[in-house]
Amino acid sequence: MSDSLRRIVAIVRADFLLRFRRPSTLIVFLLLSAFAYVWIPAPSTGRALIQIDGHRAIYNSGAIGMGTASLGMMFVGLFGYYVISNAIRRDIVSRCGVIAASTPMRSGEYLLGKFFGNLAFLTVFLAGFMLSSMAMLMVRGEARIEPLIFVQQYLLLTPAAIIFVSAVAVLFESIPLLSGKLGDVFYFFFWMTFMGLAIGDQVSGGRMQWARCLDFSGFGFMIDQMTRTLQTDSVSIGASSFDPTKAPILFPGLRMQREWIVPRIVSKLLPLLFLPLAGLFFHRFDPARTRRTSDKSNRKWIGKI
Amino acid sequence: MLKIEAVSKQFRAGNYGVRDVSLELKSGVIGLLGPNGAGKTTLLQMLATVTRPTAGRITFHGTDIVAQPNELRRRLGYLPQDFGVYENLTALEFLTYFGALKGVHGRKRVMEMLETVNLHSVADRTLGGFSGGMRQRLGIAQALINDPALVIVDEPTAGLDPEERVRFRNVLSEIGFGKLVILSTHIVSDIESIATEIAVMKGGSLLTMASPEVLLRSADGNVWQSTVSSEEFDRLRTTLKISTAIRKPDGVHIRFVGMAPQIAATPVEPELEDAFLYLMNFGAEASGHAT
Repeated sequence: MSDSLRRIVAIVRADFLLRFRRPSTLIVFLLLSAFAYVWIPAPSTGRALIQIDGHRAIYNSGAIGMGTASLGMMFVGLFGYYVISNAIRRDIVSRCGVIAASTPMRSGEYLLGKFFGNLAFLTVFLAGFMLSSMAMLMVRGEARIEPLIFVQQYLLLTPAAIIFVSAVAVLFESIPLLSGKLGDVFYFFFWMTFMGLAIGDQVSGGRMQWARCLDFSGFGFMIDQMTRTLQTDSVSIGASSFDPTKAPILFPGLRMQREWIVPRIVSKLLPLLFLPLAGLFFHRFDPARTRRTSDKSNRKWIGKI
Repeated sequence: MLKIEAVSKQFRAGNYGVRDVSLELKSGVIGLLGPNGAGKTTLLQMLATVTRPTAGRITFHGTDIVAQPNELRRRLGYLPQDFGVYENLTALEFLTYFGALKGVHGRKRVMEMLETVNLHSVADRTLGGFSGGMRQRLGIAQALINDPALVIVDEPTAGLDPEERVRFRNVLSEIGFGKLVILSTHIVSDIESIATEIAVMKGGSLLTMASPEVLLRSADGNVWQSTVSSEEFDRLRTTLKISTAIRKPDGVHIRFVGMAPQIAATPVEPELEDAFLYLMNFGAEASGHAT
């Protein structure tokens, strides 16, 4: 292994250990899992995970997998940034970054290490959430577990969001103006803009197909696939009330369609362009360019993980 | 080994952190002495290639370290001021991490360094439970892990208790052989026993650089001792540059620096603390003597 690769691996490993050893990581994980429990209510309550034209979808691997994957995707997109956007700041505050800057480590190696650290954390976090969600099938399931179908839902929906959030966090942390509260606010609108574009494409009946390449949330893909599979626009996800007189229907889960292959790949690759951009702004812990402000995690409880 | 030529650092606001400093350093322990705000940290940050000078040139074995910083970085150990740690990592993991950044691999070297700083018995403990002294020792271990030719430590004893300070000083004096160690401090006792040369800074400029013996000579005949009443002491403390004051039954025993005392006083042999105080307050004359 080259020195360069060893350095990147060391940064990823340190970040990973730091995040997973914080008790708040476990707390957020348990909260998210508890939310999944509420998100997938027992049908006897009059509510169900997926409602289609008043019918409820049977709780099989496709439905619960897609339902929890969409919840995970929303968590990563809306909260993931706030969870992971303190990696560079932590190094500023602790002055470990200044030491790193005095080593032969290249700035690109550092930023890649932080990006992969973010990626590893969110991936493992969501993988854990996926496993705990699989357990929901034991509690609520109405069909046998099909692990491949279950995992497929996560693979179709979440990777683009994970890559996007990981890369944006590195970019924003590298730009002094966006490394604080302004970045927190800006990120929300940034995410919502891309989500809006994905929805806009669906609402316009596919007249904005270019927006599919910017569907980092996977939301557009999800709506499109559900509309096609279920042949209706009336679908709601997450603890939705249904008509108990109507027979439950089978939702087989999301599948990849040929026309979506390129947009889904592009939406995973595009965020990588943020990394060289981050390199242009990265201060390499030069004290003349960084302010040793109070730890960002102190003002954001979620940032502690 | 390390040559600093007319180096300045001007900040965006226009003020200078360091102004026109020139030094030529060979192996040994160099004490960088000066009050807070003297520019020591800024100078060390430039030497550690963490920030660039706005004027001047720094060369290490003839290589310009601004143009080619990696030439120095491969042989540098740096411990910044107010050094923090990753509280959720163990000492072993922390050192392994910085070792990897410096191109040092393998557990053996990491364990060797932990033994050098006497932390091997707590290698698997997370750093959140480490005392300030233990953290500083870990800091020096990371600075030394790549067997550097140049070691830069910035105010390493700040916040340590007296016992830890002595222990840390001993570690530094042991590593000085064959290397260039630059130790910045505003506490004279940190360097008086280990520094081979002392550079004194004030207001971003270098006042002097000399051996401790030469610095002591610069204050010869300008250090005085006297015994005064408490009331007199309260009056004199604002006018005299007092280095020590000890209350005893017969009054307050003061030691002060200056050229012609206005009170009855006897000349005494200078100590490094006196020489430093003299330099700070009578800089022009004192540095003229020292260089």
